[in-house]
Amino acid sequence: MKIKFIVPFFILFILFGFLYHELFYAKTNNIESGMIGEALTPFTLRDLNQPNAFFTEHDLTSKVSLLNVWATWCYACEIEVPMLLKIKEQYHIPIYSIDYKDNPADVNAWLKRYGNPYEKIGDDTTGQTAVDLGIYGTPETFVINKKGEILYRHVGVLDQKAWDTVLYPMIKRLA
Amino acid sequence: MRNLILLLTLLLTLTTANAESVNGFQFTNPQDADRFTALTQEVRCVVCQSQSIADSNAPLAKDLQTKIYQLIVQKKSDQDINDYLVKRYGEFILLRPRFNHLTYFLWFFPLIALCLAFLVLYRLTQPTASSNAS
Repeated sequence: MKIKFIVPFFILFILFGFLYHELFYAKTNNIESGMIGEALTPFTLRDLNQPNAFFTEHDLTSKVSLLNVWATWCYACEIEVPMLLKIKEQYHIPIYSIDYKDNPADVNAWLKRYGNPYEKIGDDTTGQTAVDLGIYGTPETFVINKKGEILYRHVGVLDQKAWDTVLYPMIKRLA
Repeated sequence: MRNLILLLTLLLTLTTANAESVNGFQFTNPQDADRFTALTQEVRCVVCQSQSIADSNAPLAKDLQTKIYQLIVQKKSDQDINDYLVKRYGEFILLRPRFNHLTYFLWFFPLIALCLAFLVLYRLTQPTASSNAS
């Protein structure tokens, strides 16, 4: 058989290889971001945890912390909250949050129902702080170092596996 | 005649007002309004399928429009605005990818593929040695 008859099958085999990799091995939670290693874009948001208080980028310095972007209207955030409570209570890692385009009254009801894993909750009414982070949707979680720089971005629900294999080892190294 | 002049003045005022307002965003000069229109038409709605943020009603598209409006008001250049977006969302966010080391393959691939296709076509249409012999 001439080699030229094998070529189309060879190309097809390679394409199927790419498809297989993207379907089963692509890390959908780890979306590349040009913001990795960069300081947070300055922001000042009303803190929904305390009346008359604000949440700014300065709150995220001096300790390694998580910055979670969420909303009460986000179903995946309901699934994620037990893990965030566990991180707060068992691992003692501070979690700050940006509440993306939400209603403060709904936030209070939501926190009473599911618990409050957050040190501070920034009320991002316009969604512009979320855009500064390059958000696609909720939830998304960022690991922030002591200098207030973004080290890692996790897209989607943060589960025990991602915590054990990626985020917690990274935080332990930094602490 | 006086009424006609009044009507023309009114129409001119309305036209000017429209030129400086795009999708509810108010601009102080028509150049900024034109820049906003052009930029939003070239930025991909990252949560939609092949739509620009100008054509999309997705909440994130509206947020990105607001950000572009704010950056224009802050007197940022088109280059600054595109850099801001690419840093956060990657080259993917630009509907017309920029020509740089990350996109060389993207821009040149059609040309390479065309050359290869011509080469294959040429080889196939050439008479083979056996047919020459016969």
